[in-house]
Amino acid sequence: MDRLLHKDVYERNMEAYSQAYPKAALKFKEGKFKTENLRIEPIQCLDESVSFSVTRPGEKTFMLSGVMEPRRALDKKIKKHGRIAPNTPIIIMGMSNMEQVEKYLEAAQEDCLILVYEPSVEIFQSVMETIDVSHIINDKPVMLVVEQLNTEDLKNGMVAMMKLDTVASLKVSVSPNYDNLFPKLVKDALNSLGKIYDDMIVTWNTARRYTDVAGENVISNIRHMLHGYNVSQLQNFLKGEIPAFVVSAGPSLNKNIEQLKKVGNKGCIIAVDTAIKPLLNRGILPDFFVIVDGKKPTELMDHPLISKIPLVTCTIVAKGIMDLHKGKKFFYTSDNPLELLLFKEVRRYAGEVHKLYPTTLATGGSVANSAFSLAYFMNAKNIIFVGQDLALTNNRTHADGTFQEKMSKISEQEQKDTFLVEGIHGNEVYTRTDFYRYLKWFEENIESNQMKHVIDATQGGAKIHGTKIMTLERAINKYCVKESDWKEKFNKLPEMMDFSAKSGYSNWYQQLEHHFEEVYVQAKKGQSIYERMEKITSQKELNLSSYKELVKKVGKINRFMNENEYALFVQDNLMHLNFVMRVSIYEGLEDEGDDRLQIAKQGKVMNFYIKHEAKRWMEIAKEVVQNRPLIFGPEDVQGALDRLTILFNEVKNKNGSRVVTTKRTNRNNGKSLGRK
Amino acid sequence: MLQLKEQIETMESLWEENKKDEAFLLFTENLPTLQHFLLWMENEQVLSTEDFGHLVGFLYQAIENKDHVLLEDVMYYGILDIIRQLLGIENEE
Repeated sequence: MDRLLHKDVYERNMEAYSQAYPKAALKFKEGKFKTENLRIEPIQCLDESVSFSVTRPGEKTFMLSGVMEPRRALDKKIKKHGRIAPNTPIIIMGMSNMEQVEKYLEAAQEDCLILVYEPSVEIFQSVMETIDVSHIINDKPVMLVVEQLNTEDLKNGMVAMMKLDTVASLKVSVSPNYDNLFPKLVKDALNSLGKIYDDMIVTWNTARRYTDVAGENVISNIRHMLHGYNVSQLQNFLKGEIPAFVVSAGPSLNKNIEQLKKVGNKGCIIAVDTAIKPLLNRGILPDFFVIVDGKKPTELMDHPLISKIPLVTCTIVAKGIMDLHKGKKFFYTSDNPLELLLFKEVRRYAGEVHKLYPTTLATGGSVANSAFSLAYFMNAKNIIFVGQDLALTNNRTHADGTFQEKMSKISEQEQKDTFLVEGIHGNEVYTRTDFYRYLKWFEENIESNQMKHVIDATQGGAKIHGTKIMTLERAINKYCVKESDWKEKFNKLPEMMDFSAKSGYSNWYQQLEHHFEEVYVQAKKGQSIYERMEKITSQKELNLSSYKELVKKVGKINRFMNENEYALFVQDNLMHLNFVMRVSIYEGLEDEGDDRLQIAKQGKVMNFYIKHEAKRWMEIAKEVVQNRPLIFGPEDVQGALDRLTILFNEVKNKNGSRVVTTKRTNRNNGKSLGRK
Repeated sequence: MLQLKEQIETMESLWEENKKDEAFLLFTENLPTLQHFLLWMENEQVLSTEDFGHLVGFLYQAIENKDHVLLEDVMYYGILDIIRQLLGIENEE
C-alpha cells in the first residue's frame, strides 16, 4: 500500500465504501456521528508503510503500529498462527493497519472470513483519506464495521461468522494500542463475541440433548400444521393497548396465582408449559400457553381443559403433548429442514402465501424467554412477569402443582451448584447457572429493545434489571384498565393454510418416504466413491487423473448433501457425528497425501452413516404417513367451493344466466384426502 | 553490544509472553547502556543525524507514554537490527 495523501484516494475509497455499505456511507457523508477530537497523524514508517499516532485531548499519544518495520512484525505474527484452515473466521479490532487484512487473506489463500471492527470513526476517516483500501473494502470475505456508522452489523457479523465447524480456528486480533485508546468499546466487542460463543455452545448442547427425539417429533408433528396457525398471525395483536402477563412456574407463583383471576378481558395471559396445570387447577384459563421442550413429560399438561387453551408451539416439541392437545396450535419455527421444506412446498400451491413464512420467536433457551418474545411480538402495552423467580426461592425450583403437588426442596448436591445474585428486595438469593443465563437474556433484551414497560410482579426471586418491581395486585389495578375485543378477533383467525395449500401439503406428505430414498441412494453412491478414493490415495503413486475424476463426482454428492433439505434433515439427526467429522475436515493435515487419505476415510464413514440414517427415516416416514393421515374436514373444502361459486356466479351474472349456490356438505367429513 | 543484544532479546520474549510490565522494567534497567550505545552511534556516525533523531524521538515517546507497541518496535526492529548488522549476524526470523 502506498502512502497517499491525494484527494483521489479518498474518493476511490469512498466510492468502494458507498457501494459496499450504502447506509453507513451516507451517515458518514452527512456527518451523523460524534467525534472525540482525536489528533491523528499519519507517519511514514521505515519500511514505507503508514502508521498513525493518535492523541486524545490532554492524554498520552499512542502509535497504532510500530514505526520501524510493521510489515515484518505482521509477517511474524501471522506466521505464528501456522496453517490457516479453510473458512477460518478472523476478527480484527482496528483498521489502522489494513495490511493485516491482506496478509491474512494471503495466508488463508482467500479462504477465510474477516470482520474488521473500527471503534473510532475518526481513525476510519484518517485511513480513508490516507491509504488506498478500496480493494479490501470490495473484497467479499471482508466485512467492515465502523462504530456509529454500522455498529448494528457487528453482532450480526460475528454471529454469521461463528460456526460450530470453524469456531475452534477462530482468530481474534486487537490492533496495537486499541485496548489503551478505546478500552470500553474493545472490551464490549470482545464480550459480545464471548457471549455469541457461549450461546452457540448452549444451542449446540440443547440440540445435542434433543437430537434423539427432535427428528421423530418433527415428522410426527408436522401433520398438526395442516390445521395450525402461524405465530405471524399474532403480530401486533394487542396493539400496544393491552398488557400481557407472562406466567412462569417459579416458586413465588404460589403467592399470587389467585390474583390472575382478576385479569379477565383487560389483559392477555401467556403461560409457560409448566405453569399451565397450576393455573387450570385454580380455574384460570390463560389465553395461550407456550412450549419449547422436545422432552417435556405429557403428564405436565394432562388436564381436561388443556385443549381449550391455544398452544404456541413448534414442530420439535414432544409429540405426546402435541397429540394430547386438540385445540388451536400456533407455530413458530423450529428451523428444522423438514418444517422449512413444508412451508416452501405449501407456498407453491397456496392462494394466500403471507401466512406461510416461518416465524422466529427469540429465545435465550427458556420457555419463559419465548413467552416474553411472544408478548413483545404481540405488542403488549406492558409485559408483566409472574412466577419469574429465576432463583431458588425457599430452596425450590418450581411452584407447587407443577412437577409435584407440593414441591420438595432441592437436594444438597443441587445446592452445591448454586450461587448468590441480587434479589428483588436488594437482598441476595441463590440461583443456578441456567436460571442466571435466562435472567441475563431478559436483561439484555429489555436493554437492547429499550423496553420501559416491563414489570416484575413475581414478588420474589432474583432482580431482573430494567424491570419495575410491584405486586401483582397493583400491576393488575394499574395496567388492566381497558376492555378490548381482541379475543373476538382472535377467535375469527383463519388457519394458516388455505385449501390449495392443504392440497399441496397432502401431495408432499404422501411422497415423504420417496424423498428420503433419494438421500439413501446418493449416500450409497458417495460411500462407494470415497471407498475408491481411499484405495487410490493409499497407493504409493497417486493416479492424479482418476483421483480428480472421483473428486468431481464426490463434489456433486457433497453439494446434494449440503443443499437438499431431506439430506440436511437426515444429517441433523447425526449431529454429533457430523460435528466431529466436519471439524476435523476443516482442520486438515500438513501433508497433502495424508490429508487426501483422511478426507477419503471420513467421507466414507460419513456417507455410510447417512445411508443408514436415511433408510431409518424411509421406514419412519412410511409408518407416519400410514398411521397419521392428514385429516380434512368439510370446512377445508367449503372455503374453496365458496370461492369457486363466487367466481362462477360472477361469470354467469355477466352472461345473464341463473345463479348457482352451494350447500355446505359433510360428505368428506373426517376422511383423509388421498394421493391425487 | 552483545550484552545489550541479549537484553533486548529477553525483552522481546517477555513481550511475546505478554509480560509487558516486566519487559518495561528490564528496559529501564538497561537504559544507561542503551544511552551509551546511542551516543556511541552518533559519534561514530553509524546512523544519519535524521535517523538518529527519529530513533531517539520515538524512544522518548514510547517511554513517556508507556507505549509498549512502539517500544517493542523500536527496540526489536530498530536497535536490535542495527546491533545485528554491526555484529554481522543474519536476521534470525
